[in-house]
Amino acid sequence: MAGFFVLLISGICAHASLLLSFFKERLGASDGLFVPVAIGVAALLIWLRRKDFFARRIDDVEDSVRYQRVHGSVPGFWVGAILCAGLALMSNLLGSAHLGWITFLVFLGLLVYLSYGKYGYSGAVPVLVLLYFMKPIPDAWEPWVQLGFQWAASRMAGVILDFLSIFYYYEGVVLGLVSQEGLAVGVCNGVRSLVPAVFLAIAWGVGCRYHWFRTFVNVCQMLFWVVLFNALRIALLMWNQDRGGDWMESWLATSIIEYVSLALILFFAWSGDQLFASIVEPASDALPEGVIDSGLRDVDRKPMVAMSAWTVSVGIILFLVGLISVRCIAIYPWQGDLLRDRILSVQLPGEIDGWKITERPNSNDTERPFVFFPEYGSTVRDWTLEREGRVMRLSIAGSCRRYPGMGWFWKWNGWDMGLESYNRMDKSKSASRRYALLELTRLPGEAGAVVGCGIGPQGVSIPNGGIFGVNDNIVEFLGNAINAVIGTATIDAVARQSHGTPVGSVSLYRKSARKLDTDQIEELKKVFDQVLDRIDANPIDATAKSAPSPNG
Amino acid sequence: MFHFLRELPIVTLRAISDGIEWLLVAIWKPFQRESDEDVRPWYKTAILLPLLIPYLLFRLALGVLAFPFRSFFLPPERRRHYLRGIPAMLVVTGGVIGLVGYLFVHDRIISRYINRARGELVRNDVEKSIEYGRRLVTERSSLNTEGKFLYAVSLAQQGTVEGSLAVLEEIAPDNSTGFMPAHQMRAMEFGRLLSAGEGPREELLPKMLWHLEQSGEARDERMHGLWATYYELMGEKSKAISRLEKAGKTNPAFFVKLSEIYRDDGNESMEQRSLSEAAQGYSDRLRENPLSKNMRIQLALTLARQKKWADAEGVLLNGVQLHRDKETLETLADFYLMRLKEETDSDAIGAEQLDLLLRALRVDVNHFRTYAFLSKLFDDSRSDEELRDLRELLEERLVDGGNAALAHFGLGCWFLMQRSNDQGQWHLKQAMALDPIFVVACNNLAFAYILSEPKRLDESFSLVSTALEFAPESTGTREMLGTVQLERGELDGALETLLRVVSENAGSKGTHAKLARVYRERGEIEDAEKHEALSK
Repeated sequence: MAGFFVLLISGICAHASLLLSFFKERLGASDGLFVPVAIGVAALLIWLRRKDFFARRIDDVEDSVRYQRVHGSVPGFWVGAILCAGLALMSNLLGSAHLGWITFLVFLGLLVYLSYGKYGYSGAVPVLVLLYFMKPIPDAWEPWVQLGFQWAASRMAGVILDFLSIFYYYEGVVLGLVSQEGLAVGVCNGVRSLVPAVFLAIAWGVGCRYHWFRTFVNVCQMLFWVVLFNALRIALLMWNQDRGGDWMESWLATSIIEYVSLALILFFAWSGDQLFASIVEPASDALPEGVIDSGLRDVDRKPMVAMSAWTVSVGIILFLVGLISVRCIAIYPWQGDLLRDRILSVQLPGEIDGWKITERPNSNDTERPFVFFPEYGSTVRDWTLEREGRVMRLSIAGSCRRYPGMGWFWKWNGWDMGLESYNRMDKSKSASRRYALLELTRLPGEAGAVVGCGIGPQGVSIPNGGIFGVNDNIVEFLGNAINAVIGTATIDAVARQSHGTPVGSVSLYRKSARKLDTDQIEELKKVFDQVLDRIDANPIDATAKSAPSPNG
Repeated sequence: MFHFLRELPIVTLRAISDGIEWLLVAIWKPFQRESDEDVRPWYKTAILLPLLIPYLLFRLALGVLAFPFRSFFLPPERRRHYLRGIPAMLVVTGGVIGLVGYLFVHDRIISRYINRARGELVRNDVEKSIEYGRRLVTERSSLNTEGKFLYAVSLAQQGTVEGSLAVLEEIAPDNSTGFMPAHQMRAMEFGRLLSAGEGPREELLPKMLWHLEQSGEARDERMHGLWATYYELMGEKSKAISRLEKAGKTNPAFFVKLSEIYRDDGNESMEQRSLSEAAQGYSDRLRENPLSKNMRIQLALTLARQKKWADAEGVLLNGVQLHRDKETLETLADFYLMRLKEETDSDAIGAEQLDLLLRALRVDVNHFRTYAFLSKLFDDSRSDEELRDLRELLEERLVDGGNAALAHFGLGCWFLMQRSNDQGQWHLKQAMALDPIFVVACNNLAFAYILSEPKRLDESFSLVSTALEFAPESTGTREMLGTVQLERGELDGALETLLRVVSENAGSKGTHAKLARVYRERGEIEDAEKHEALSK
């Protein structure tokens, strides 16, 4: 029993900073209230399935004394220990909160297996999988998944509007009414209830002990209902706008509509599940025959992990792994304020290379040229560059925690990017700089190009992060991270850690009726280089202001 | 009984199905092998294949039709599941039917957008037309090309020429057959470029020819005109003349163009003949529709080209009597200015020039064009003697009752240009006293008040407002109102006023410059830049 708690606590310590980062980010999201609900549901399901943990084969005498034997001599113990420590180390080095959550769930699963055997493991795994679905999609993919679902919902809403004889047009996934000015950006800014609905579908399956296939079917049909009712929500709001009504635009009305939509989604998902059950004989994952849970001794209910030198040593290893994150946090303090100051301090001259530069304060332009999409409420500054009738737009924004890949913002607004340009990274004359160039096309007669990169508080140019907020070039990043741990850190090393420094975005955009030719692209890049020179001219000293705290 | 009725539909369907199965077995049986040694000919098997697929489809349809009734044959537990699943089933079925139906009506929906876009173009609401077009260009439909064409036309009308050309290039490419009307537009664009000398001829001429050929048989005067432009550029004048003569039969304007060709060739007799043909054509049309302003104006201009000044003036004065509107008055003023240029040495200062100018000034509600001539009279390059002669001429007319107001106006403008604001103001006030509805004088006096130290903005505003009441159609006066509002800091009012002026007189660079200033003061930089570009 004591051994169980040693391993549990050390495992938590191994993932502490990552878990803190994960929950802070989840609670701060727009659907943050969902997190405590999800934890509560998971706890309830564990309670309902608690008898799985105590299941024993009546004729399995060995198991009754198994708990006395669980220590380092059990072959699986070391495999599990190495696996857990390795995963924890990887997550801490890579600094990804989402990876940390996944490895923590894996750790819990292995601990349950070690403590309660295969029946306990099979009882806990569905709940652990469910907990994963608190955030099923990595940060870098989530916007793209949202894009796909929003596209489907917008198109479906368009079909409904056609049947209602309401005239509209598309700009990417956003709809606009012909009868009204402007786009319905607020209405089409993301599919609601996607993650909570899927979570509840899985929770229902786990709670009712459905076969995994039935739960999978429920998840699939839940996605369909989510898209359908979001489409209906969009169509309803746009119908209201077309009539000139504004009562549905109030916060109360939109909240009511969203909750009603969620209720309808859940109802029809349940109905679809019942239809499935009437067609296919449903199986379940209830306890197999021959397994009893009565007549247990008290000792049988306790986790079968003894306190031994092996458990203690594994615990110490895990604890040390956890210290890596803490050290990283201490070395790389939160620099969100620095980034904001950096952006606010940027001063551009009135003219660069013949281009007249004018700042646009309080610009409300929906076509801001972002290469990386900033967080809501970020500091944003815009400029216009003009020369002989040609116009370019410059935007500097911070911070960007997530890197959904360049061009997501453009894709959302209906721009197409050639695959070649999306992956193109050009080196400027300065070897430390890398930036991205996107060549854009939309409707006939609408084209353009945007060039951009990320900046840190000291103005260093940084490329985008990967799937879990981790550098695409993992080898390089791991090397930098290890250097950071052993004390030879540089600011560049932490720039992409999700519990470290945020990154800003600098983007220069030029719109045109036709695809830009080579000369125009070169001109764009040349001006961008010169803008970066000006930005790099006055870096802020990062050590002057530092306040250790995880994930801001 | 209830049980029987409940089972009747499915029993009936099953009976039919079994009957067909029996039939097929009866057909198949003779072809069955009697023993292993029998070899079934392949054609005896093949003959059944056409029957197999319909049979399978029938059984499938049977299963679908029987599905709603299957609940009656399920165990109680599963029947409950089935009944609870009905809402989902209904929604999905309805959705599938709706989507299938949508595919059938899609083209009809797109054609609604096309009709709306066309309607908005006719009503000159280009922005709305563009929004309809944005849907059209993104839809996959058999009408997609027509939608793109309308979108291109809307963009062209909005002034987004590059965007319009980009769309046209897509639907009427340079190396393959596309949408015929789009080819026509591209031919027109190339004709315009070539006529304006923009772009290399050797590159543009073949493209123009290609698009003309893709535009199909020339059935209307516009196409004949385009072909004529092409032949003219190629130096094939006889072909150009032939085309223009064909086009002129429908539209006399082409005879006027033909006269220009003859004039360039020095063929005066043919030039006059063409002009006579044009005048006859316009005259015939005017006779059919005496209220047609356009025909009247074109007829007058054609007569003026023939130097038949009295006839031309008569036509225009008749028009003024019929409807004294801005367009007709402007044309009459232009006529006098044309006479001034053609008949006299317009750079000289003489009684004849001044009389023509004053006549133009009398009728010109929009004072810009006439005012430009007037300004030339007071040009700084003139000698003191010339300016003295001009002043004397104007002062002579002070005692001429008919021209006194105009003379005071002329002197007022003269003094303002000489930077003598007070004397200028006095003469302008005299002009207004003689002619209270002398709108141009109001305008200039209001401007003089803006220039005075200190600025008399309230009086200026009052003057311009009064002038606008008398001549609400005067864009020059309205622009002056916008200027006064801008000086007074009334940005919203200035914006509304100047936007209206631009919509009525889109080519005014000065107005765009003022609009740019208004937008910049309002902090709307993007719009300011747009108008600054248009003001250059």
